[in-house]
Amino acid sequence: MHIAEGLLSGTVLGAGWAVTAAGTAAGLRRMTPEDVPRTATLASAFFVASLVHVPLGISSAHLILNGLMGVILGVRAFPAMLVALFLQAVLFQFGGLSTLGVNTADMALPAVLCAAAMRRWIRRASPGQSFVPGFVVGAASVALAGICTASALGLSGRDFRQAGTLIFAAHIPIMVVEGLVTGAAVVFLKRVRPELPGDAGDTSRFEKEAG
Amino acid sequence: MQLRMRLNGAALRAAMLAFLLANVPASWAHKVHVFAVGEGKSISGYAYFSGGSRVRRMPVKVFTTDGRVVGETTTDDKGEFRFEIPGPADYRLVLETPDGHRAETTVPADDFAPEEEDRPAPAPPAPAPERCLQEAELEKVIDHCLTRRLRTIEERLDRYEQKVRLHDVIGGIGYIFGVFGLLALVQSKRTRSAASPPGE
Repeated sequence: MHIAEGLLSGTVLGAGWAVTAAGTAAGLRRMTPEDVPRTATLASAFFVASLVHVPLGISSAHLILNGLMGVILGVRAFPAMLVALFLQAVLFQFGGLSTLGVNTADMALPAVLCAAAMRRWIRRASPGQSFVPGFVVGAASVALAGICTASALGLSGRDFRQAGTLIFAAHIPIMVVEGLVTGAAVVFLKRVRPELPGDAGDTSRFEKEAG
Repeated sequence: MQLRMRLNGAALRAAMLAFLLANVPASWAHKVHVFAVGEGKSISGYAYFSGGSRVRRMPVKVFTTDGRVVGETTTDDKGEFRFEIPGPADYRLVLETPDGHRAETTVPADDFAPEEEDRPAPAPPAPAPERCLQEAELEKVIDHCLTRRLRTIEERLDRYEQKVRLHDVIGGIGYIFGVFGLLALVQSKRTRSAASPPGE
C-alpha cells in the first residue's frame, strides 16, 4: 500500500528499490509493442482505482487491482505500477518518492507471484472453471500486499502486529471484491482471448506464433 | 472476428476506466491530513482522510520548529484533539498511523494569545475602568470571535487544497500512455534494427 515519506528505514527502502529495479528490468525486457496499449490501460486503471477509497472502521481502504495486473501482464506489472505510483506521488502526494521502490514492490511482487502460481491452473481450466483461480489471485494479491506493507513498517522499527491487523482488517472487503473482479475478468478473457491470462510475458511465444 | 474480439476487449477496458473516472469526484485520494489552529493557550484540531472521514484514536506528536518534542496527544472518537502549549511559538504537529500514513501541519505563533492571565468573560463596559484594561479585554473578545469565524474558512481552504482534481487524474493517465507509447517506439526501433533473417 502507499507508505508515506519518513516512516521507513534506509535498509528497507533500499531493499524495496532493489526488488522494484529487478522486476521493472524483467518486465521491460519482456514487453513487446503489442503489449503496450494493454499495459498502459491497466496502469491507468490502477492509477485511478487507488483514488476510489472506502472508509472502513478507523482506517480506510481502496481498490488495488494488483491481482488483475499480475494475471494479465505478468512481470510487466512492475513497470506499469511503477509509472502509476510515481505519478500518484507527484500529482497527489499519495505515498512518497523515496518509498516508491517499497510501494511498487509490495504491490507488484505478490501479484506476479500469485499469478505465476495459478498460471497453469488458469491455462488448463475451461472459462467457467477459471473463476476460482482468478478469485484466488485477486484476493491473495491484496492479502500479501498488506502483509508486505506491514512487514516493511515492522522491519523499520514500527509495530508490525498493529500495522498488520489494521491493514488486514481494513482490506478484507477489498480482498473479496478484488477476488470477484479478477475471477470475472479471467473468465471473460479466457473466452475472448484465451492466450492472455496464461501469458507470463515470454515473448518467444509470440515469435513462434508469427513464424 | 479478430477485430470484433479486439474491440470487445477495448470496449471493456474503456468501460472500466470510465466507471472508475466517474467515481473520482465523489471519492478521493488516499491520504491523511491534519488540520489545527491555535487559540489562547492551546492547539485544537482534527485529523481526517481525504474522503472526509475522521482519523480516530491515533497519536499526534507536537514539536517545536527546531525538532524538540513538546508532547503528544491522541485524536478522540471524532478525530479531534486538543493540546495545551507551554507558550506562544511556532509548533509542528505530526500524525502517524500504524498502517503507513503520515501528515504534518504547522501552527504559527501568531495564532496564540500573548502571555497574560486567563481570559475573563466579556463584560459590559464598567463606568470608570482604566482605559488600557478596557482595550485589552476588548482585544481578547475580538480575537476569540475572529478565531471562531476564521476557523471555518481555514478548514475549507485546507480541504480545498487537498482535493484531488479531475484534470490531475486525466493528466496522469495522459502521462501513462505517453510513457508507454515512447517505450513502444523505442522497442519497435530496437526490434527493427535487430531484425532476424527470414525463416527463423
